[in-house]
Amino acid sequence: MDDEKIKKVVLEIIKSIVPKNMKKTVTLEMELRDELNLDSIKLISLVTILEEKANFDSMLASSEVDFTEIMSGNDLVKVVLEYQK
Amino acid sequence: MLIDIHTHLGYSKVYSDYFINGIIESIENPLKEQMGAAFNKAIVSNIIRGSLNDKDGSKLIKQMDDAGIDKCVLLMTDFGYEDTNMEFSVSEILEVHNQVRIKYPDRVIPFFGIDCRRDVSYVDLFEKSIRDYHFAGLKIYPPCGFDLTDKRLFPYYEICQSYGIPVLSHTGDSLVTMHNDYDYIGQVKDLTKMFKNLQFILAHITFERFEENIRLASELENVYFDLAAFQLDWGKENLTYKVKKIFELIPDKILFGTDWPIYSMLGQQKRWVDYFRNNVEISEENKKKLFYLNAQNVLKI
Repeated sequence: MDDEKIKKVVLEIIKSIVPKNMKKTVTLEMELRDELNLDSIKLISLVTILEEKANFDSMLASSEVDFTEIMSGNDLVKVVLEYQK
Repeated sequence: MLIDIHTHLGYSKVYSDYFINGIIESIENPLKEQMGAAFNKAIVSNIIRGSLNDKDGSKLIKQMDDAGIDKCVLLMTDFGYEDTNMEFSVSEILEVHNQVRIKYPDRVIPFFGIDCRRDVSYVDLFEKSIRDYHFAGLKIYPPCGFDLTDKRLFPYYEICQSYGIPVLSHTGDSLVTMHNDYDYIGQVKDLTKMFKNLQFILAHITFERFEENIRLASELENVYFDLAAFQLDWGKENLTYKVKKIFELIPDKILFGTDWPIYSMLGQQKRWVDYFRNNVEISEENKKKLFYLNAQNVLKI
């Protein structure tokens, strides 16, 4: 999966879990916690959903990446690119 | 000046597996609701454990730098009494925490942690931690399986009293499998009569029995509360109400605490500091009390 496709998929997934009134304004630059108000449950669920939708090796990534340091959608895109199956 | 009175080392080997697994299990149901069939416990476990990689405290210090926190109290915990598979002994856990203090002597104030069901030799280890390693308090976690009034704790309390250092105790429930039916309010009332010069920091004022916590701190001179776990009320009106009450009624008894790294998936340290720093409902005078004046009073620094 190429960079552009991954960006698109990550953005769609984030949009799917934010409140309805934010869906139109979400960008990959936004802070997942401070701006989009994603809680721990939603952030953890993101990792698993990415496996299914973005060819992401979430098992390997979860054992090597510190997800508390993922701040924005763009940070997430970098990790997904690095851990393609 | 800003002092975080309630932090832990984010390093998985200083905790028992049963405790970390218990935390993972506690979020299993909400995760299943969110994820449905995609839920994978192994991945969740990896994510939680993967964040507990801060053996030397450098990640904690970076968080403190980003948030403008000058000093933290680093609470050692002892969850290993009933866990024969635990890799580190109490002495080794003490040593890990001491190394963090040595690396960051001006930033980290460690407290010794013990399960009082262990034999009396650990009383000496506690005193050694104060005398030789400059530890500055005692952390206890009653849900491990004891009450605050357990007589096996008394030698520890006497040492705290003689050195003029505080006891910090967890309050409220913990994992469902743990000892949760201890009445910390009644027990602290009894203890303050027995140990008149001992200062108590009770953790998690907003967590359970909030109104009673406020009364306890109002009535008893030597009882303080910390704010750690306020994140459980994050985004709720409830938090606004509780914060208002705290500063109306006990502004001299409240200490800023984050419980790092427990809520690190929900936010960085800066988020928690900014909530109080930018809170227009709290006067500047009370912010000083919250962030450092009250802590300086308890810690005598």
